[in-house]
Amino acid sequence: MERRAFLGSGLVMAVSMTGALPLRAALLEDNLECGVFLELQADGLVRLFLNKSEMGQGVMTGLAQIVADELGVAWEAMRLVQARAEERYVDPVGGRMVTGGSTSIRHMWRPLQEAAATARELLIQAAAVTWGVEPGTVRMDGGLLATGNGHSAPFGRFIALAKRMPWPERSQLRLRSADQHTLLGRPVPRVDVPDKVQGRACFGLDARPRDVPVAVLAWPPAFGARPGRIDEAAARAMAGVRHVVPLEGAVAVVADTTYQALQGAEALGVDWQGGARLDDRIVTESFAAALQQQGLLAVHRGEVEMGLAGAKTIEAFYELPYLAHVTMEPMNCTVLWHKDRCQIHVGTQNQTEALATAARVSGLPPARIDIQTTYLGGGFGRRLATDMVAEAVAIAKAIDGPVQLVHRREHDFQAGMFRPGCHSLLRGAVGEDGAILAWSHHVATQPLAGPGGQKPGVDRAAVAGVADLPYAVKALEVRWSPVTLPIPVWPWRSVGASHNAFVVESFVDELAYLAQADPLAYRLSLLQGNEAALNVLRLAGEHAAYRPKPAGGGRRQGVAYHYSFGSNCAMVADVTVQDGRPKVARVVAVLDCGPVVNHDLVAAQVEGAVVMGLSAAMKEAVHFAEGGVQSVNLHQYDLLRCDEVPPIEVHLTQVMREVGGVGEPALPPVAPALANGYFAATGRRIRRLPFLAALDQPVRQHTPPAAS
Amino acid sequence: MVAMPHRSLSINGSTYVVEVGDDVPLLWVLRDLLLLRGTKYGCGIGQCGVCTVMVGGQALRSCLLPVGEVREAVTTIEGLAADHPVKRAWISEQVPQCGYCQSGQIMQAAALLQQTSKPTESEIRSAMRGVLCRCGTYNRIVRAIQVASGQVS
Ligand code: FES
Ligand code: FES
Repeated sequence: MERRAFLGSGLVMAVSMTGALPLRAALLEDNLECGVFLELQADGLVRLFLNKSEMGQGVMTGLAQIVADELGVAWEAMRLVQARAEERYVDPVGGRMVTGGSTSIRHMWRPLQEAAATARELLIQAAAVTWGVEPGTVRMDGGLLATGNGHSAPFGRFIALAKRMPWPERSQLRLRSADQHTLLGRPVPRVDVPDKVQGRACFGLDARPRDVPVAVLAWPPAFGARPGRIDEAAARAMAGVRHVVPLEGAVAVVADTTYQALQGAEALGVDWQGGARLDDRIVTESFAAALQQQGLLAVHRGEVEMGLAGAKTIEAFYELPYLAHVTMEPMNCTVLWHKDRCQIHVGTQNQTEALATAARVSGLPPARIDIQTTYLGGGFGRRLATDMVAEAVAIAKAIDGPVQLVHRREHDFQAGMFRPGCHSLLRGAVGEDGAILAWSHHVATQPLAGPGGQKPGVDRAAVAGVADLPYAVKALEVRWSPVTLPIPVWPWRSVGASHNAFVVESFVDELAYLAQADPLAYRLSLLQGNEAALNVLRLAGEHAAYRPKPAGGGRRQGVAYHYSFGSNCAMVADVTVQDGRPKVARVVAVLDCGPVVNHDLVAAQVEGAVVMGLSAAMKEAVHFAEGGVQSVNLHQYDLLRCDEVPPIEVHLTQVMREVGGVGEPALPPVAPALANGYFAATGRRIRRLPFLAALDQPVRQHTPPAAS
Repeated sequence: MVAMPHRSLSINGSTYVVEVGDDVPLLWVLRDLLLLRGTKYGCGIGQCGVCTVMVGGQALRSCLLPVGEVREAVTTIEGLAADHPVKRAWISEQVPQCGYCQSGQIMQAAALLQQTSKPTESEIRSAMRGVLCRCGTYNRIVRAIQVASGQVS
């Protein structure tokens, strides 16, 4: 299905989120294909097959800008088609069809540019042959091939001939230089916005044909519990209920409509057996026990113990909670089951795994499974998992018919995969000149296997931003102690940086005060030679009109800096305090993500990351009780709301030459900027998140202290 | 089984006759029976606001509104004029990210402007607090409402 969306100015852009294949096959012969992503048509249109999922980051627009610009066609000529899950569409760097890790533009920029340049080169050769001129005299702009002296024709005219031209060597491709860019770097309006404003955008939940039934799961309150006795008759007696399907660790009720399935699942009255022993106290104890272990050594550099024997030392214990993704669209998956083949509509960040999962559960060969990616109502890492595909395919197979699986919100929380909680014990020492003599960092988290599976040794996410500490230290020791708990953990926007930046950036602030230095100046002194880091910090200070004042003396600005996903980000939070509670009055964010495709897309990502970071820092924590998740809906897990959001100023700068990530790097500095600002204003150091809960509780120490 | 009452609903200027029980929330009547899927499900308990529609000019959470209690005309995102000032401002300010919450945001904003033609920033923020956006588009939402109400351009 190809749908038409209207851009603001009346331009037409076809955006197809489903059904690419028939179209492609029909047109194949007459078209000029350049690699798998690009297809030029004789009618002057350019088809771009997107191997990345649109989850709000604007990737469709960004990737199309790269192609249109390099190729030399009008923006209106672009047609975007979501590629189905197939091996040939994998990310050429990552080797999988995955959207995550802030890599889409980083990985796809060059390959798409080269494909577009190849197409342009072939067309130029064809035009040169047609006109009997030197290829060097032909240019392609705005969809037209032209020479300086009178020849001019639309590229469609040369498609047939171009297909017979010798394919240019990759090394000979002449990519457009910066001064030739007409779209790159421009705030081109997003192609997905009009549909999203008119309520026409098709998300996974909207992909259900009318007569396809809906499955809702009864889900155990405790992790790992099994269904015992169920009141199947009660559910079946409900209007519209068609099937009751036992799954591993859950029971599905299939009904004609969503509401009937929701009601049916409730009527099941499952008697759950067994399951994990888990509550908040057990969680805390497990972390404390882990910190008593030696842990695995990630970094050991210099004489840490000698440094810590110095005069000015500090010890600090930081505690961060588990977090939920809370995509506004709950998990779901629609399976159109035809026995010997199936089509699956799902908002996924991980097509490669979705296909493998569907094949494994259905028993069908991958070639008989057509995965169509819808718009994603939020991803943030959650949709890298394919649990919803496994569940939906299992149900479809069991009932031998099509089905749409819907996670009700409570189930979405209970079956969540969480940002791991994190406890860290730090010791540091500074010399008379302020230099950091020793930094000892012991972090306890659950291992974060993620989609790639668990690797032996130190968990990379656990020590992200610590093992590669950017600050000059004379001695560094980083240890990681794995925590064993039955809680499913998973990448959450900015992954390990989402906890470690809080710890590192709070602690460096603590060391600044210990050294009686201004926190911003102190950071600058410890980052000598790191031009990109210095640049973002200086700019953040300038844009925020940062004013150094003595410690604890009513200053209300907190600074933080973090490098993650190939980008540098610095932040200044202006914090006011009322009745001991912080209010963020403004956030100034400076991001250096290298070359930028579309500044407005980047600004939007930074704004969103700041809001999500602030939401987590202020409010969010998953609580556990009776073996499972206690916070099962939004009244127990509130997010930042419109009246709690400060003005957010975004400034982009570029010292970095390489393209960096955009979706994640602006989240990690938010929490520490807030905590540092709060300290500057009140002299009280908050080492525990979320902030609002921490304020109401006495200061917690790590007990018993691991340091002997 | 009890026979379902036939009920007539005025939605987006059309009259629909649906066969549905009194207690079914309007949200599911819209999405499942009438295939008006611009209105979204987020929490089902009135906490997220992505299901917001206008009923008799008031913004209400359709997940909590039993269809049996709907007496006035309903407007959903599909029924708000395509060139409504709020929709135009949403496009010019490039508000949506994932977009999932935006139908609810737009309906809430349209209802606000119907009641208060030039709301202050704090009026806007408190009127909008019932609709969550995990992507964090709040400041663009505020600006778009100011644009739609002719307060900034
Ligand atoms: S779905 Fe209605 S308020 Fe959340
Ligand atoms: S735009 Fe994604 S939840 Fe609001």
